[in-house]
Amino acid sequence: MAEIFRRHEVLERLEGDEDLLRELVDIFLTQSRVQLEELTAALALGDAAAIRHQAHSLKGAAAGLGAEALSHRAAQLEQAGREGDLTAAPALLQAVQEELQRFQQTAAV
Amino acid sequence: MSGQPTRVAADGAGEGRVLTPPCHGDLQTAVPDAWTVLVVDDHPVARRLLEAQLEREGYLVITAANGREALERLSGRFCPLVLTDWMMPEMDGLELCRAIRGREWDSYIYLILLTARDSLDDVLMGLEAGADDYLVKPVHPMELSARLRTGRRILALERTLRDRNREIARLAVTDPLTGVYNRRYLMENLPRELARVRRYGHPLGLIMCDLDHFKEVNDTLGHAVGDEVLKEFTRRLAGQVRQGVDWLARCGGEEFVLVLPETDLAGSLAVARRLRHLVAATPFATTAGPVRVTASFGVAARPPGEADSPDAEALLARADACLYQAKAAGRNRVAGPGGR
Repeated sequence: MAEIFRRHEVLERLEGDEDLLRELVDIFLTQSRVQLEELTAALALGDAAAIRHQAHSLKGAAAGLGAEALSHRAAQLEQAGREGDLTAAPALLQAVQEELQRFQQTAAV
Repeated sequence: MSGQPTRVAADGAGEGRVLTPPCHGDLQTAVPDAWTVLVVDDHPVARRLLEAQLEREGYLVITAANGREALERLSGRFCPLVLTDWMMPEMDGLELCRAIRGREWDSYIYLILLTARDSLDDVLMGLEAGADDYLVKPVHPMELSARLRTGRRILALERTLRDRNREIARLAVTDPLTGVYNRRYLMENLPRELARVRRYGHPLGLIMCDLDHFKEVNDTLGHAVGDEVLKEFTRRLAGQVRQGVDWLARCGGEEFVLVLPETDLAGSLAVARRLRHLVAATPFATTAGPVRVTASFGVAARPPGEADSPDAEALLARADACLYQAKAAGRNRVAGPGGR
């Protein structure tokens, strides 16, 4: 089971810089909201390439911030976009949204 | 054909300056105090994360959100190290690698590609596009730091090599004794200078000069003192010309050629007369005591306009003929075309 937030690991990479971690989480949450809107719009248009791109970007940033579960969900969505098969995409996007919320709640503590 | 003489006989503004071939590779291309890294990633978190990590290690960091932006940043400010994400909108990391490799830069750019995947195909494609190295995201700070160290090592090596090559190139066109250009440079560059002034219909002056009775200096005071005289002679000539425009070459023995682009015959004659006086007026200080030296000068010029366009050989021959006249007329004098 993927962790929601591998906080210690990230903090270690940031050499214990709590301020930087907070700043990064803030940037991430802001950016993710924009990306979710774009993913929703891309899904409505059936734009698989855009979904792949946004999901890829989200996946990478989430991994960098230790949002492991969210990164995995985003990877699944990216895969759907790459394959051009969007049948499962609405459910996957839903899962990404839920995972992002969980991350936000965990990170806020 | 009424080209204005673009240069009036100058005053002593250039006095004291020694005209030597410029040594490239200083100032503009100096090794910066801190290494600058260009971080290219479309995600603000990735950018900030890398920026924080790199700044902690003492790097200067600039950032760009995609390849196109990265190229703009690079054009504004050269960066020897580039760390780029692969997948980005507008211009991705691979295209950026290709674009960077497809252009001429001040010096080598060390490119590290960041990728989310670690497949052999991807790695090969990245290296093929011109990346020097790749890192799999998320990047561990210690690994990033080590890879950048490798990059710096390679860049330092490249800089040393480039500086040495420049020095070798400089030495190949420099007269070792006097530090002015040599005959090879004269023969390569005079045609180029002439082609340039011809394009604009501008004049170009040529002064050929030769120390009088130099053999006697060598015979009576020895070659070491002869060398001192040659060096002082060069200093006096070089001090009178415009830096970055006029140049001086030693053609052999005690014969020198002064090339004065944009200077017409009257201007060139004036320069030669001033030089003659400058050489003859004050004895040369040498380790063997003061030595009285004179020199003879032959002057020729490509006139403004298009009517008369001698090539390098012809112009040198004209100056040489005038120099011969100056010698024949008793030395320590200036001769121009038509006995002027």
